[in-house]
Amino acid sequence: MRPFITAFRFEFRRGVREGVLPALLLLFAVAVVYAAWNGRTWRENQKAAREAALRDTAKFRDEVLARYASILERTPEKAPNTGMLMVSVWYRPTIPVAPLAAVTVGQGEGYPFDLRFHPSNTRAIFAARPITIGNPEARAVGRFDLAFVVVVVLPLLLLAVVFDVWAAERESGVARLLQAQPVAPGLLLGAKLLARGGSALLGFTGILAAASAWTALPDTSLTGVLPEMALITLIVLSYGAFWLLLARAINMVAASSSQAALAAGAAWLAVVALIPAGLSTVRDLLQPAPSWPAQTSALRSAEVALERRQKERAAARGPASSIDRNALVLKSLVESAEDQQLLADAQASARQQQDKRRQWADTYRFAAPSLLVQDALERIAGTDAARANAFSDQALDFIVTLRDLIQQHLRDGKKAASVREYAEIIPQFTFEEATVGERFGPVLINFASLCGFSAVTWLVFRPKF
Amino acid sequence: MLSTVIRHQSTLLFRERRVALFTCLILAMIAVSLGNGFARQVRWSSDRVAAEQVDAESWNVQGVVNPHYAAHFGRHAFKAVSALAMLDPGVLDYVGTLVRLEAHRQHPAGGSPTDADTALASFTPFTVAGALTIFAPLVLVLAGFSTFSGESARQLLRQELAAGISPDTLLWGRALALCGGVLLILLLVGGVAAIILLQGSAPALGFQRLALMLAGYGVYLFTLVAVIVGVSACCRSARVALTSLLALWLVGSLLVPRLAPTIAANRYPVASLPELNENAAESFATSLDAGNPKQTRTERVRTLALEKYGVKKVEDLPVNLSGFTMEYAETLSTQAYRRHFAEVQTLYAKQRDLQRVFSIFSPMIAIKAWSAAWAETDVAAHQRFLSAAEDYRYELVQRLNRDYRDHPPKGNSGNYETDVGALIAPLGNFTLPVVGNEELWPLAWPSGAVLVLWSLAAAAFVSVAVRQLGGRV
Repeated sequence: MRPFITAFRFEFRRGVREGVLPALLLLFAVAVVYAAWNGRTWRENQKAAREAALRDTAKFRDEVLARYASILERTPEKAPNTGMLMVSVWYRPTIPVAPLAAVTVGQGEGYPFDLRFHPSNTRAIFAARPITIGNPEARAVGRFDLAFVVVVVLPLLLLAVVFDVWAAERESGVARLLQAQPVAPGLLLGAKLLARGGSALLGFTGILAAASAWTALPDTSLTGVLPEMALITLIVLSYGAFWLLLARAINMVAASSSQAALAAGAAWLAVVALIPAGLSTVRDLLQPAPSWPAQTSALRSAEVALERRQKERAAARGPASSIDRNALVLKSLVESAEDQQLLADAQASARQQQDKRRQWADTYRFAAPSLLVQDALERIAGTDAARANAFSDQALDFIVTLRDLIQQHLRDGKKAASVREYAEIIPQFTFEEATVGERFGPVLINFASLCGFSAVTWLVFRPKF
Repeated sequence: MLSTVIRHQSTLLFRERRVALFTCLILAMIAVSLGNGFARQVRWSSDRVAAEQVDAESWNVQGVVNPHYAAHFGRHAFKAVSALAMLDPGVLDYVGTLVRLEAHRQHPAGGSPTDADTALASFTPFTVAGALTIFAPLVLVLAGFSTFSGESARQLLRQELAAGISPDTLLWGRALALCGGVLLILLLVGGVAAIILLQGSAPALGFQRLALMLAGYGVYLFTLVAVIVGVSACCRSARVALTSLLALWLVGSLLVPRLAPTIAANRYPVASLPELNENAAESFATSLDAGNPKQTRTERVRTLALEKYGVKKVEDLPVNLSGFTMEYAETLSTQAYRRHFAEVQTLYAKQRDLQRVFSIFSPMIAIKAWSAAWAETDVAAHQRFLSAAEDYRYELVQRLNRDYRDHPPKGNSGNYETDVGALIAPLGNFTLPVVGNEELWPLAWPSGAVLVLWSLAAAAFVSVAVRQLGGRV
């Protein structure tokens, strides 16, 4: 163990003295700080957008309540029942911005963050599209967020530290001298790799963890995001370990520093860009994205069918004055549930296509460590597809619950005594975050897979001197 | 002599295994990208045509309804994509493919192909433009870093110079050999794209744009060749040359192009859609309330109508007051929305100008802008679609409102209804006007100028490097 420690110390001091390690740490810190600030700005904008959406809905709700206040003041005996109030306002379930969303924008702009609907008209839910009016050029080139720094920049800097850890010694002839010493060369290589790469990786991880925590601080305490922080640290360390082991493998075969640099560059390009881009292309060919114009057409056809159905219903009902308003609303709620099914059916094939596309991507994420890391960071940050889909599922469940509640209130004919009481009766949507197991299970699978990549690299490219 | 140097360098390049490997990789990437781009193009085009048909039929099937009801039923404008998008999709995957057109509100485009995706969407698929702007430079670096640097190259150079070949001839010969490879790739891309363009409508316009696009790529890659050969001439060691060129590639192809839009977006932030809607609604309310603030909005519009038609009672109005109100409100709400969306466009323009400044550090920003401008896949092309859709929406809604206005209520029949299909038939369906090259030129030329400046600077750099070459050997 002593030679290991000596070699480690020597290599570490050399790295510090040469200024490579401090320079790279500084460079990394600058990139991280900018990415964190960038992510935090994006998250603040997302929060502002949600607040504006909620203000809009609240404004309409306040107008309705003002009408109720006026009725209560003039003719309290004619005040409508609470069910009527619930059916006369719009609802706008909104998915909250996750505390660590600044870590990666991920799919945060790819899904609608709110779903506006009326208990008897849910068309808007099916027509909902994630619409951002920010300059699309920033999205097209990719965001400069912490995930980008981890997935793309971190391996580059790690490789810059260790790409010729043994190849340089081999090229200069020092390797032969080292091999002549009564110390196992594998031990020396490990010590050099750890001294240069391991210390850099620890430094990078520390900077990243601190920056991630800083992005979450306005909304939560540090203890509130401890599990997430631990997972980020695990993922970054395992990803870094993979690159260090890959550098070790390259150094086993490269005869010179130039060869090692080329091989490391090629590996970086393949893992970070070529394999994910290739997979993305193959998926586009095999599982193309469902066409939005086609979905809109299907929805439009369903709407036309609904129009016809509604006209038939109105004709069958006869003049509106002859029907009790309570009964009419009750009936319309039942009918709207049927209508909602028609709209859902119209979009079923597109949704299936989308699900298949997502499943394909989920399955093939194991093809590259960079994909695993991106996927894990999105899940930890709460900007992933699963959270967005959970939100739309919960919003649809909320409609069902709401309809049942309204029907119950309409049947009971209960009235409130004050506007405040009326306002309190209106149900509010609360987004239920997934359980820890559901949220972090896939992240741990990604972590295990990253460890698997490292293990394979370790076992396949064993040092041969 | 120049041709001999070119031939010699070409033979060396041909024999270099790693260059051959990476060139094959690039060609495979281009082939897959072209296939994918073409398949997407066909799919999008057929889906759009089918959707337009369904939209028109759905509109007509409404039959006799109230015009304002029909204005809320609305229509859709579907985005037509230019044939050259198969080479350079630009921002197409990140902007909407359709716009809902209805009364009172200007919707932005929704439904982009990257919506509802997973982490894989964070990695863009291969495109021809990506292959030419990101990966081709890398192959050029690998092919050209040791042109003059490194021990063997230096020894060969000594012999060549001693044989009486001028450094200029050597340098340009080697640069042209690299350019030959680039030219072959560009001709290949151009040939395949031209065949595909022949199948579409207006191939002549397509050919012109394709030629301009490829000329831009030619200038861009020539610039890179010059920089690579120049750096190689400046560095004695092949390792230093390679490291410097790879660092330049990283900064120029990866970091600056990613940083530039982010910095621009942070410098000129655009409000979110809910905030824009909120602001537009406020502007609309303010414009409605302008005049006599003591009156309610309904009273104010009524007074306005009575004044306009010179009558004292609503019953005497020669028009339908509801229709008049709708028409009036639509004018005001459209003004409000257009003003706010115009502010967004101004911010986009400022962001674009700031990004252009960054092209001083990376010619890739300039070539991307140049290429997307001719492929009509840039932000400006999307804005043209949105503007055309908005013009159509306003005309559609106001036609309905005017018809409503011109039919005052008769007796007890309060609700006016008409055949909206027949009413809108003269307006036709939404079509995106074809834009001529003269309209694209003002958007493209600044990027083209930056590219030319880059190539001139690179040529000057090579000239300086070549002058020093003789002395250094």
